[in-house]
Amino acid sequence: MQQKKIIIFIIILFLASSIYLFARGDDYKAAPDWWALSFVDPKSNNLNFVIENFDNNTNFHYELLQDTNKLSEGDVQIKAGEKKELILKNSEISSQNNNKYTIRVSLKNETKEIYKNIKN
Amino acid sequence: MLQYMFNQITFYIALGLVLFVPGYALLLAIFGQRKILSNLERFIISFGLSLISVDFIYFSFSGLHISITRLSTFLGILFFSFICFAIYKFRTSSNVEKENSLFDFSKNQFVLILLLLFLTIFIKTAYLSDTVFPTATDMGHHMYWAKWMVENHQLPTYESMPDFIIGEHLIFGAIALLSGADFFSAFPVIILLLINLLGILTVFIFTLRIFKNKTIATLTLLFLGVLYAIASPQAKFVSGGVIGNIMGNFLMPLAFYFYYRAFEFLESASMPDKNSKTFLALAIFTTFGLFYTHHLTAFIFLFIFALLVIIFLAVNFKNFKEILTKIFHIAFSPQVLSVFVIGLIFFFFIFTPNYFKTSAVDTAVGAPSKDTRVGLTIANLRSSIGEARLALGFIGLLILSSRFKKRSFGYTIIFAWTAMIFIMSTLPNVLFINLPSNRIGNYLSYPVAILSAYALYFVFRSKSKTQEESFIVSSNLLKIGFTIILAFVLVDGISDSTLAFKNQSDLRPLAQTFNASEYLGKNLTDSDMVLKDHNYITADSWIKLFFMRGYKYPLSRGYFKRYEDTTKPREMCTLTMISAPNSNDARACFAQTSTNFIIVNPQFDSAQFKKSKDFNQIYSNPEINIYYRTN
Repeated sequence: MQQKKIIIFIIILFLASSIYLFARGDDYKAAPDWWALSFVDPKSNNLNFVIENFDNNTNFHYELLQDTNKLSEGDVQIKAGEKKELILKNSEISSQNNNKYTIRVSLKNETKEIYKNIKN
Repeated sequence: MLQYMFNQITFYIALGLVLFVPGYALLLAIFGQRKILSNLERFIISFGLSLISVDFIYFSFSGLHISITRLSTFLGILFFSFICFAIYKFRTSSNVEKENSLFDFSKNQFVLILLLLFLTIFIKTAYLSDTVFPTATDMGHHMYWAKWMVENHQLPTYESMPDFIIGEHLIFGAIALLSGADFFSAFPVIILLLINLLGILTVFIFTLRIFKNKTIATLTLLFLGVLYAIASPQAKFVSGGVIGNIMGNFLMPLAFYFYYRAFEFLESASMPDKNSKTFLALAIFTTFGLFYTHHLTAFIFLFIFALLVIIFLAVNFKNFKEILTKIFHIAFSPQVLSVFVIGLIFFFFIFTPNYFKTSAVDTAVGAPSKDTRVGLTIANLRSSIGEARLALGFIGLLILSSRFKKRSFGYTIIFAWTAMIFIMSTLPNVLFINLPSNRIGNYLSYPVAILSAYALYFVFRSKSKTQEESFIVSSNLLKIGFTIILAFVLVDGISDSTLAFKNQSDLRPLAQTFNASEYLGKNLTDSDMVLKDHNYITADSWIKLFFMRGYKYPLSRGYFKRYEDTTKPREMCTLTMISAPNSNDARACFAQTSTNFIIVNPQFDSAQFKKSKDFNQIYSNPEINIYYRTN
């Protein structure tokens, strides 16, 4: 009987430990206060981009630059845990233009950039 | 919530099916309900035998060209268990043995055992709560192969790499197949935690059987479970995914347990009975399991076993003939021979471990080739095992030697286990061993924990009945000295654990690595090649699980010192393509490797890419930038 109690005790302890660790192990999936910026299509000349937000702040501002010249800008609201694809007007850049195109996005004081060098 | 609960329940059912049912059924088939094993032993051993049985079930699948799926895994385990159960029902074994009083604990012992178990699991869980995340490099490498098995429905081929052994991955693959558990969850760490606990429990029952003393066994739980519960090779190895070592430290004591039970009769100079043959068959079965699980542990086991045989036969030289006759009697029995022959057939003809086919054995033997292999100093051992535990273990070894029972196979196992690992880790030259000494030294904590318990018991036990037993501890001064040592051990052992606790982890870098990997995984085509950095990216070894295009995909810039290691010259492209991507060497490397995506940490490797018009930055988060090479 003693041994059975020890076995049951071990099982209960392991279950409690593992259930807790399972819950804890998923915490990173909801890590807060960051966001990511990426091109929808990394290989083509298309400049459409995606913002994926894990921050509680939701008001993003974006700009499209050709080298240092601002071509367009806008604001977008994205809730925490959501992502949004931003489709730019004339986003398909002709390969005749030999320039660097930059997407600059800011949220509060943090700014990120992604860019494509378009070559002839 | 319901889905989460359902996932949890399926995980525990799969865990039971893979890690308990086959072993329990096998024990039923062999021993029926006989009391030759206590309930606690049956429970602990079932896990070890399940682990090995599942390996052999999968090897049979491989031999029979049966695809490894959820259904075939389920049916295979069920079929094996059903056959065992049918044998159990068919055999009419009489239950004549009485329950062994060895496992009847006093109330105080019972409470102490529960307390030590609670502390063991509590301390490990507390540590793992901040290290359970999928970040460890080794774990990432191992889980790649487990996932590969799940996705490809066959046993991993390891691309001819000898460092991976099949038994390290099968149970993870089996549980993932049956339960659908996510490899990016805590499940691999939880499985390793369970195996780690079972290793400690195996040492507990092994010690109890050898010394026939409940206090020594209980103290072993203190020295192996509670004290130094975090240090390597305990919880740190669990979170670090050092699978082979954790499994080895379960299977090796289990093998020793079976060998001890098989040759226990030598202590009383009686004749072996049929149980001896059965236990020897189980010992051989477990030894094969060990060889299928971890080559380093198997290698160490062979050396220990050789020393064990030499010592035992040397101290019993006068009874050499009598002992050999008895050993031959059980070794050449049908049950032992059949397990041995079947094991050999599997090993050489059905599924041969990768390390056996390659040069791994050759590289393990010879003059040390790196300064990490020239042997540990006593200072190294102190930090590896714990200063107090090492001191107490050494005293235990002296006491054991002074009270050595020539006929005790158990004493000889403990002695050989300690002595051989000590020699292998401190004086590898003597045995021509060319393996990292610290990896071998980690194994020493297990026998040293037993010896520490033995030493402590020997000094503090109540007045002995015989003069011969009491002379060493007659002095009260000695007891006071040992009280101080005990306090030192407790403080040292617990403080070792508290030092290991991390501050609250920042989980964002992990989430950011996985987010970037997921993005890139969706955009890759067959012709793309990715290069990532190992130095500054969190959990980078897990990135390959998002791509599943080969163990060496993506390419990796390794630790900088490795490129300077003169003992192992290596390619330089992975270094150059990140560190100097615009150099002529790098251009040649890009052309040679077809690398067109590079994953780096922007805080360390960004400027060199921004300068070049050959790279587009296509992804950005605080920890990861991804660049796409256009030329």
